[in-house]
Amino acid sequence: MKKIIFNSFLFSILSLSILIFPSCVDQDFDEPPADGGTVDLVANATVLQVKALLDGASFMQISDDLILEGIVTADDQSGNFYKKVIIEDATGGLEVLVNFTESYNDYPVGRQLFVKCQGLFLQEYAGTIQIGGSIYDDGGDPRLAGIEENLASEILFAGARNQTVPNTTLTSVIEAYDNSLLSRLVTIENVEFTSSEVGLTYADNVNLFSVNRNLVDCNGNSIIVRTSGYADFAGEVIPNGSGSLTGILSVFNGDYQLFIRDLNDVNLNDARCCEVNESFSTGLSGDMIELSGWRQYQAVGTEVWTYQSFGNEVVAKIQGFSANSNNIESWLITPSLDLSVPRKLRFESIIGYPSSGHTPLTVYVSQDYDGSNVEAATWTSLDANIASSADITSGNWSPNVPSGDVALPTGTSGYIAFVYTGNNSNQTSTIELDNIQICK
Amino acid sequence: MLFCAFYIQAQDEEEVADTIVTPSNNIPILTLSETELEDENEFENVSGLLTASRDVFSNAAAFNFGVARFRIRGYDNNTTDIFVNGANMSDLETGSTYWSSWGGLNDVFRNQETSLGLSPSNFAFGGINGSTNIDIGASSQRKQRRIAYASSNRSYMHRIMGVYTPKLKNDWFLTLSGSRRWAQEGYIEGTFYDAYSYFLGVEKKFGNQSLALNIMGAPNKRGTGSAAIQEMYDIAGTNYYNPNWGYQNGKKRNARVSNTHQPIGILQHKWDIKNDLNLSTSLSFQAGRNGKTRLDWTDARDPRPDYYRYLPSYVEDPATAQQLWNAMANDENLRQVDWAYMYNANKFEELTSIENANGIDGNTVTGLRAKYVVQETRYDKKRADFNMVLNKVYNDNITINAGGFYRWQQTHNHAVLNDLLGADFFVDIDRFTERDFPDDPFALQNDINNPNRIVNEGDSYGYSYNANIQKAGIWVQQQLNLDRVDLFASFSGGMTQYWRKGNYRNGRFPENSYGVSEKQNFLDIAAKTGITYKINGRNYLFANAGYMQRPPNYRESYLSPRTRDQVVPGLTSEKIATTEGGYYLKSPYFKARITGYYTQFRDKINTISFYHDALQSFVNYTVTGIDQQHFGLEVAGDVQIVTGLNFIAAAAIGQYTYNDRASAFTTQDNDASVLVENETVYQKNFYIPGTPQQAFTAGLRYNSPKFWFANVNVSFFNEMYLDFNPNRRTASALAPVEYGSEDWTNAVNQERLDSQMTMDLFGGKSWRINRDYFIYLTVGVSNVLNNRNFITGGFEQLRFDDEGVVNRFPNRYYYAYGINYFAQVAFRF
Repeated sequence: MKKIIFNSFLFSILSLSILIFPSCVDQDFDEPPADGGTVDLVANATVLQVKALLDGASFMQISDDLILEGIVTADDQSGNFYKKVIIEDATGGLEVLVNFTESYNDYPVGRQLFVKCQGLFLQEYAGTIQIGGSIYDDGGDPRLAGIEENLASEILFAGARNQTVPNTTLTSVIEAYDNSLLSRLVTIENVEFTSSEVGLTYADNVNLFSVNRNLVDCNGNSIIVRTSGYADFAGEVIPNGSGSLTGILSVFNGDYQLFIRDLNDVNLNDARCCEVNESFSTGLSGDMIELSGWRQYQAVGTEVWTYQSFGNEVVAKIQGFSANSNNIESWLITPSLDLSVPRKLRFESIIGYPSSGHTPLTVYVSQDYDGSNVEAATWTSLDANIASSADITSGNWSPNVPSGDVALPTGTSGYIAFVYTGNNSNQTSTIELDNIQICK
Repeated sequence: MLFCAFYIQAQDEEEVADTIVTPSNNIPILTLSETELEDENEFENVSGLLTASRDVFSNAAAFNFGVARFRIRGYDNNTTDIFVNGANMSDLETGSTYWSSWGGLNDVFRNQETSLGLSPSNFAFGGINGSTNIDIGASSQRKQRRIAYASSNRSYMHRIMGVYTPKLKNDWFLTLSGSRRWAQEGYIEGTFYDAYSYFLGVEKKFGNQSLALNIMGAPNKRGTGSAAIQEMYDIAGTNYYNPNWGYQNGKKRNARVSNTHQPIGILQHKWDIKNDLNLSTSLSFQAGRNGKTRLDWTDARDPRPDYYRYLPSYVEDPATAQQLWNAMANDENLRQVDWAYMYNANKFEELTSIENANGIDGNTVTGLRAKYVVQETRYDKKRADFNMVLNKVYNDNITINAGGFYRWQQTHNHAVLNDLLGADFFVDIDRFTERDFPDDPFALQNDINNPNRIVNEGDSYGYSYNANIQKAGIWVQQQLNLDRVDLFASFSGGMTQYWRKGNYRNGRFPENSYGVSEKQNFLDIAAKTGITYKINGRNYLFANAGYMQRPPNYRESYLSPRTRDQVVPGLTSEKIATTEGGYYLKSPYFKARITGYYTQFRDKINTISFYHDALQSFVNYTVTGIDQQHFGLEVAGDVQIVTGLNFIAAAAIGQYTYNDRASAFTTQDNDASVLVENETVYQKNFYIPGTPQQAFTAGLRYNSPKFWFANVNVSFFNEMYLDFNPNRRTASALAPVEYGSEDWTNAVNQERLDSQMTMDLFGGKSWRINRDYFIYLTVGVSNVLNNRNFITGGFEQLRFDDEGVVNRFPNRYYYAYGINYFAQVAFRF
């Protein structure tokens, strides 16, 4: 038995020696160091110079050893930018196309990025200049392809993170109609989404389609905000207020567009600039006007306000001519208005086939209308410039007559009513309304 | 009849990526040198077995056909029943036996008793490919102390193995054994190997009874390789390219690490009640972890370096493609996993706040939310077996064998977060689902019972369910041995019951993901019979036939078991009809065998799942009603030329085909709709993949009286076919492809692999020192001609381009190792 114990002991020693034997399999790993050190490159060209190389052509390949340095102003994190990174230096912004997704992990907003341009291609795409890796055949048409993932390490050099992101502040939409700002990050102040789009989604997140929405400033000028159906905020609802909106400025065949990066770019928290900005553009000619928040009221007769289109324009129309009812008093009433700040009413009117002595349109404001009982409310007429037979220079129609800025009384809230009075015999004038704006 | 079988087990129960995950990946059988997938195929092992084995065909096949992943008769691994001391070792979920459970314990696993084909055994009814019982009882072990060191350049580089079996008194027996196998890097780049094993056997005899307890385990951790597409092999300049690893701080780290430790305990009671009556009762238990890691990611791009969109073939412009090729050929890092990138992506994210975390209102957790993590896919099983066998002999020529068993297994299938890669936490939701169910806030939750769950390292996430399986059965067999004729007949009957218990209530499947599912029940019978006619003492003729039903394996019975309990429609048992017959010659100088066989399988099921990157989900293909036909000849001869020198030749000439169309069901783990339902798979006359249908070997063996021996063999493999994607053989997948066009032909045809030849050398010598000490040296060199273009297998990717572009997702291949060696010196005292 002793021998067995001894042998067991010996065997155990042997077994232990197996463990002590230099037989370590090294599988311990330290965390890799953080990237984002300095990039050993010096820029020798500006965005403006590089974009100028295209010189009106559709494509060109850059042969010189040009190095750009910029700060990333937009990445693909939200999904609104697909396979592209936007950089900007002091001279302008540039879309850099890459042929891989989720590039925000490499090139997030605020990161310094150098681009070695030699061998890359420039393309003008519907008015916007882009830089990319190669040209491919897209069903017969040449198209710019993004930089391949496995080539990016020799072309795109990411440097320090969290740099100050350049941003150009604009005080009106008109200032954005500027090609020198293309692909730059801009913030436009005093803007809001057009009222008919408030409450809709930024894009079609069900069918994953891109959607254009209209952003207007207090002067009524508008610019498209385009959003991809793949953006993670595509299904979010467009807010009501006014304020500033930030995005990358782009252009598509002459139409300026803004692409927001995520919802942090939308700062529309103030009272709406324009309580109403109605161009009737969504209606079908001949249909009765039915708009969210608006109301029609026929005090006398049955004649209603309808949509009328000519060319691309749609307007609101009413006339006594060939009306069903003898006498007509027909109201078109706006949604409830926030009158806590001073506001102005603007609209355009047209008169056609005026009956002599007929003043068909009157504009009223009420601060005690309860939204249902028109008759019980107090309505005060407003002094607006309304189209009349005097405006007709030839034929039977006046041009669009601007109302001028009609100051509204301040208070808590109120309504504006456009009231047509006439009949189907001797007061038959046609009245058309368009671009009704009630703004700060 | 005795013979020894070796198995490779790919424990790759799921290959992620556009990769086949197939339970039948447990590639069986008879292999020696193909260590790419697993080990347990060492020469030293075989030599011991060669002497014990008498079947000339099996020997030759075991020795030389392994490199080509040859499977006897083209059968699956689970057609052989493996017992250890009377306990059935097969996994109840997959039906396969994993020899890695005792990997490295070669010293105590030498005593093997095998019955071939349908021939009867005394310990079990057996499968259509026979059965093996391994006796590891301490009383059966040779009394010795032995220690051995081996060096190799295969999956591991070093092995130390020891066994100690002392002589004890009072009918006590003891065996201790252990081993260590390791490599910082094996033959395939980036594959480390880190394995131990331990064994304790105690046995006590009491008169005509004995009780043996055996406890063993084999913790094994290793970095794996994966099949890759030829484009990557060409770019890397080697057919041993491995996409699974990358440098982390200058050290090679593998993303696909297999980590298994499933110890086994076996208690066996043997009782010789009378001279002609004995009873064996075995009780065994096994439990432990079985995992394999993979990269998992969300809101980040595919980190696998061989992802098709990163490759030159994906680029339209030829000049850019060339540029890309050059860049990837010149920079190894572009071909490997970029760990630093993943850490940086995780660490430089803005802090994320998860509201109502862990389902607690108002609980906000803020930190770095992981984009990339290492996930470990786990199959943690608990298995218990009870098996009883009674043998009774009447009149010296009638043997009755009978047995009964009960088996139980529970496998916890789940995914565990293995490494956050520098982030603070991961959130258990399916981000991709968000887009598909914009109006359902619960749909993206992987577990509604615990929404917005914060996952830390070591936590389960994604899916979690238990597979519960139990089986019971009896069998009885009569063997009649007459002067000229041996006859036998065997019958078995059993029942199988299984069900799923979901631990998560999945947001996409709230109704059928959580809790206990409906139970599935199967009753199965099997019968076999045979006759051997003894022409004389050296010449034998035999014929056997059998019919068997087998319940569908749990692993293949559910359409999408990770997420729900929906079973395969029309779930039914597999039916096998098989017959074999042949001739044996057993003379001192000439041994030969010729066997013909014909086997028909009906109603097999195959479930394969893979990660579909566009859907960001696992997609499962289930093919039902698979019918197979296997027939062929096994021929072998071993003739002595002069004393000590033998010529040995063997041939397996078969044809294994699918002989009918099958039906396909396709599901997606994150979507309730069945993508494809009962669609015809046009696979009639396709070949069974993964094994050569024809294999030939010829060689010389010399045994010197001066205690050395040497073998040289040349082998030839023919008619090897690639595993195919059933989806590509359906009308809907082929709809965008013009009928009869080149694309159509390429999409439909099954790839035949090139025929191959290999040459192997093997030799050894022993020395006796003083009286009690022995030194053994064995050396084997495989693939001496260094054939590095030997595709041993692979598969078509399961993802098929929507537009029918066949080469968008090209085939993946495995290559056999080039020249490789194994050398061992052992010391016995």
